[in-house]
Amino acid sequence: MNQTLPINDTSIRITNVSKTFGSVGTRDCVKSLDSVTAEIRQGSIFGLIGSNGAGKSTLLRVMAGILLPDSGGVTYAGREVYENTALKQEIVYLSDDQFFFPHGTIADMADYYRRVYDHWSDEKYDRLRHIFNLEADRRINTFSKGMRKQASVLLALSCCPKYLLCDETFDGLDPVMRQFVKRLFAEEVADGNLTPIIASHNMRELEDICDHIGLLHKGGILFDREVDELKSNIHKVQLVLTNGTPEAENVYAGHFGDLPVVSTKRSGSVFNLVVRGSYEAVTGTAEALNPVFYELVPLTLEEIFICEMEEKGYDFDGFIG
Amino acid sequence: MTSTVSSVKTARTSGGWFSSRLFAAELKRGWAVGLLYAIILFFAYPVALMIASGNVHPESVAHYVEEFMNYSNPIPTIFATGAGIFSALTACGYLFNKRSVDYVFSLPVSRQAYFLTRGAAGVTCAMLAWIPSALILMVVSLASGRLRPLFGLIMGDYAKAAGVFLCLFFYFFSVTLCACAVCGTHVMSFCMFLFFSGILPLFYALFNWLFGEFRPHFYDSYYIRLSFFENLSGIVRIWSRVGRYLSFGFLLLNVGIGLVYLVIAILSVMFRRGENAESPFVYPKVRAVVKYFCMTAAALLGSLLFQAVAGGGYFWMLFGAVSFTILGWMLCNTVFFKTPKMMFHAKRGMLIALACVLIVLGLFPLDIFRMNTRIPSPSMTESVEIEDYCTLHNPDLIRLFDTVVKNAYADDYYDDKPYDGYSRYLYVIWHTRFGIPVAKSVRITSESDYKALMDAVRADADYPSMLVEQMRTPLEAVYRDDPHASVNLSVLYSTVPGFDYPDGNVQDYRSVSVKAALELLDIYEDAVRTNGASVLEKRSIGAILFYAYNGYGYDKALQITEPMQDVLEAALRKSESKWGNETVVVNPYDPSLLSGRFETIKLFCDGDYLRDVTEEELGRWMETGALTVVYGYTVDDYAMFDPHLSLEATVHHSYSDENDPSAVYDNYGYVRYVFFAGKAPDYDRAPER
Repeated sequence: MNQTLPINDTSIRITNVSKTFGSVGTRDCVKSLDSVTAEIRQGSIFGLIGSNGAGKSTLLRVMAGILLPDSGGVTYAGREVYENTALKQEIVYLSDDQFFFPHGTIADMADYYRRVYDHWSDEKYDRLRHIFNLEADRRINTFSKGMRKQASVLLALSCCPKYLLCDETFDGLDPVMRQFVKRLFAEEVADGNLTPIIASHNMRELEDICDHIGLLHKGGILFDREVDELKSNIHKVQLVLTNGTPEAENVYAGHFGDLPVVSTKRSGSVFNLVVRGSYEAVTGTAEALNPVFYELVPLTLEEIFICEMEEKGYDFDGFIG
Repeated sequence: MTSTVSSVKTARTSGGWFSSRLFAAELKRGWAVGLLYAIILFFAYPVALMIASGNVHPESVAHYVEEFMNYSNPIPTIFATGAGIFSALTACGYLFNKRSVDYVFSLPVSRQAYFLTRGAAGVTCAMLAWIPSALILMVVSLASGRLRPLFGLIMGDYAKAAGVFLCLFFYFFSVTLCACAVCGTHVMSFCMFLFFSGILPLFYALFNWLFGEFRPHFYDSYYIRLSFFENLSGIVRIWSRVGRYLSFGFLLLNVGIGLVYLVIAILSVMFRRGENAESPFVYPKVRAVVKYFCMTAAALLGSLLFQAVAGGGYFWMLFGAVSFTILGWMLCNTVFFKTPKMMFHAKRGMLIALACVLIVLGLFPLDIFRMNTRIPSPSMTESVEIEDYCTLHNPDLIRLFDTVVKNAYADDYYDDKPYDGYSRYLYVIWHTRFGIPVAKSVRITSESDYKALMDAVRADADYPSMLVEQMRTPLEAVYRDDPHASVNLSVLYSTVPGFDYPDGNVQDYRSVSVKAALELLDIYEDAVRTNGASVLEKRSIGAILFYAYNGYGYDKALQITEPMQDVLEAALRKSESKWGNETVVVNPYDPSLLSGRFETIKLFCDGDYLRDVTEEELGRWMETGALTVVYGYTVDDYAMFDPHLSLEATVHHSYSDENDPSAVYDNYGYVRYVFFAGKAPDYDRAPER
């Protein structure tokens, strides 16, 4: 089903992207992305979460135009990214382990970026460098991991990109700096200048910054939703039911009215359920069970991720033993 | 979740081929490399010239400077080679690291533009490095009283040298760049580079040297001429033909070859798909080709090594081929897969490679690869002879020679080869092609000779046998004690180790064994003593030719320690000369000291050798009137004799457009080697048979 996007479409469209590494038919062949399709709105902060090996980095590299997908494509406002140097002026890719020139300093790197990126801002560079308190003439290979991350963010934002592709960018930053970087991203987004796409397996990092989440698993995208929608549609219910009652037996058997139950745990008369459904539907169902006590506990993104993954057969208990 | 949009194709922007801003950034980054190059050149030219010229006799400074700037300064060659490789590895080093690949490919610069821009920055660094050195050279030349009169010469030669070595730099740069683009790791790139630039003869020579038989099948202009290299590529061969047709110089040919490799490199980078940023090769198929290429090289090298160790023999050649194919296969697997666990991977491929190698080896004796089969017409060859002969009339002496000839042919290298008859000339220069003796010097004295030879060649006749047939009649006459029959003897005591043909064939100049040479001299001595000059014409063994081509790798000191020297020693005396402040013993076989003993004394030497000779010695040699000094490698070089020296009238070389058994040309139209005719002065008055 092919259709041409309207030229004024400003979103990022990932369309049926598949990517395989290694020679097909050999044991080295790995299908990293399998018909991934997603849309990222301009001006949103998109979080890309997934288990190890899910294909997050590969997807980001395809989105950055580093890799040519086997099929499908990635377009930014209708423009395909691969070998599109004009479009790449608007994109900065921050890899998990960012490359710097051997023995290079931040000043060296800044000079290089300045020559390569048309929209480089010296003013922003100076401002951020002072905020990050990084020495411009110190060799980057003497920096700590966190400082290197800061340097990469500093350089990336100084390029004034429209799209910032971050692969585990917060990993290695201390909590203060992490919050600061998040705030920087949020400010840029609020100014309407930036669309960050942040890949991570640390849900907590993404929870308070992303307004959109895509969950990758085994090369395919499981869901792609707004965070508020995601959180409002799944709830953790703590119920205290009188033992021996039909309601208690029903809940123990995995039934919670008409709502789908993701998981059930029982400890005596206390039940812990994860249930899909709106807040109203869940509270209504809980009250209908005449509990001694009930409470809806908000799920963290990480818990949602684990629940979703368990539903797809990711055996967390197996890891723990 | 959006599921309605499928692949969308929009026009890709290519991003151009060059980024001036990136170029500026790369130049700025590469200033240290440029400085390093400049420092090397500073030592290579101004410093070296200043130091060395101070040790030269004032009258020889001009000559010395010319040679220093053109031939005898090895540093620029090493510099051009090393800098070319280094710059290329630096320019495309980003391809070998996943982090840098991700970084670079995400930049708003197209892949080919990035690759080319970095390459251009590398070349520019190398070019700019010549400028400060030129300025310093200018100052040094003007400041030095000795060099000031030669200012124009020095700067002109420096400019020429810059052009020459930049061409050489570009060649190595492109070859390495191509290897880097096709391969993925520095190690493999370097191996590919070695292979591209024909490292096998060097290995072979090294091996020979280690085992005491230093017969290098390359010479010091090897890298300039790229003779081995051209065998590796049909493209290069075609290009060389074009170059010859258009009268290109070898430097332009190098640049052309470099451009071909550069294009391959750019295409490889352009079509290098993203995923290959993580794997070493552009395409899996290329990996296989490279792997088998390396395996074949290893196998052929192995076959040569084993044959050399075993002193010849086809069995050892095959043994070496098989064993090195297997070793090469294991090594390639280990390198390519980066783990010894994969050492025995793809056995079928190994068997295929082995079969290929054996087929190639099997084709050698069939002379499939022979190129030099064309015989020039007599009109195209002025005169190409080696004979400095005597005419013998005494049957006993002839029989004595017969014994000596057999001994001469029973050289240890060919002791398993039957002596296939006498020729009218005693060819003590013995040519081989893959160990099979081939007579190369053909004396064509008539149109009918030429036609017969051409017919035989066309009919694929056995070339040496035909020669033997040609010589049979006079030989039989000798054995019938025909008083009018004669055997003409040519003695060349050659230390020239050998040459390689453009088609990869190797010619060994097997000088007559020293023992046989000594016997020949003894016979001469005996003949003179017992029979007098009336029996043995005075022209006998009229010339002793000293080949003193240091450039061929044969050390002069080694020559004079040969037993041959013992025989000559009585007629020689040691001489000392001043070379700078150092007293050096040179030239114990000063040819002028032999002038009364032989009618013709010739010294063939190159520039390196000549510089070891003092002006005084040179003058003394020239006074003998029989001195020939030759240096250089091409006809043009020979034409550049020092104006103080003259080319003896009786010495001439042939020059034709065709490959010639006596004057062999490479594909560029240069004379690969020339047989000089060392005729005795009264050659033309030789008695009729």
